[in-house]
Amino acid sequence: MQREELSSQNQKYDFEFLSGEENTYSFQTRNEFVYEVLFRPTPYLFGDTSLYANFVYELIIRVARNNSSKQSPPFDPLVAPTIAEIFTDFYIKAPLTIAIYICDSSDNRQFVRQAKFNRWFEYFDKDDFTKLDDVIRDSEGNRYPVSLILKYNNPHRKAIFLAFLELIEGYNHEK
Amino acid sequence: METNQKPLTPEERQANIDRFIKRWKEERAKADAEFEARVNSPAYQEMLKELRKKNAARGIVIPEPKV
Repeated sequence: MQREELSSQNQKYDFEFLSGEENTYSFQTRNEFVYEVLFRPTPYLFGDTSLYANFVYELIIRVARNNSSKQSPPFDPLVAPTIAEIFTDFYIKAPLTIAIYICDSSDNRQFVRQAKFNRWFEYFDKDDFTKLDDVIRDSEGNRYPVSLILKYNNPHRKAIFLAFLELIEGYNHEK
Repeated sequence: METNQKPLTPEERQANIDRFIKRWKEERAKADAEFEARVNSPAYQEMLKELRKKNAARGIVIPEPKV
């Protein structure tokens, strides 16, 4: 039984990289959900003229289609390893990528999204990737959990994390 | 790390955060508007069909969407 579970964990869905400026990957599941993983250019995170502007992408993971009768995707052990594989594939294409994952707060489920993303991140190669988590607060008091993910061997890793912390902590610590 | 830049005031920092969130929402809304047309296109449906075939070849059976 344990061996079956392990085998299932190592299995992944086939995915397709679509052309386009949003760097979209698509895959579908046995539960009849179609997922998309996007790396949307986000040059404005540190400012459009920042040294890092061309390397910043927002990581978006979304259900593109629900062909099932269920309202939300049930647990599927193949989804997390597939997302991790897609992530690795994109970093092979663009190793200096700075990915930011922002949890939408419009429906007050931002912390549920954060927990789910953290579970998915468990499948990422920890020797390869490093993640910094924090929360951005806007002036209306909305809180957005965010994660910044880089290759561990990014030569600008420390400077990027510092710039990110300065960007978000400056405000948070004053509140 | 030392920089030559003058430290931002709390108000300036907050303005930066607000500008970022505002633009993030605008970009997201713009992209979402194009999303429906893209996933409903014949090319997208064909791509999904090919993916189902590839998965099936590895023993992962994905049901055909019900029309």
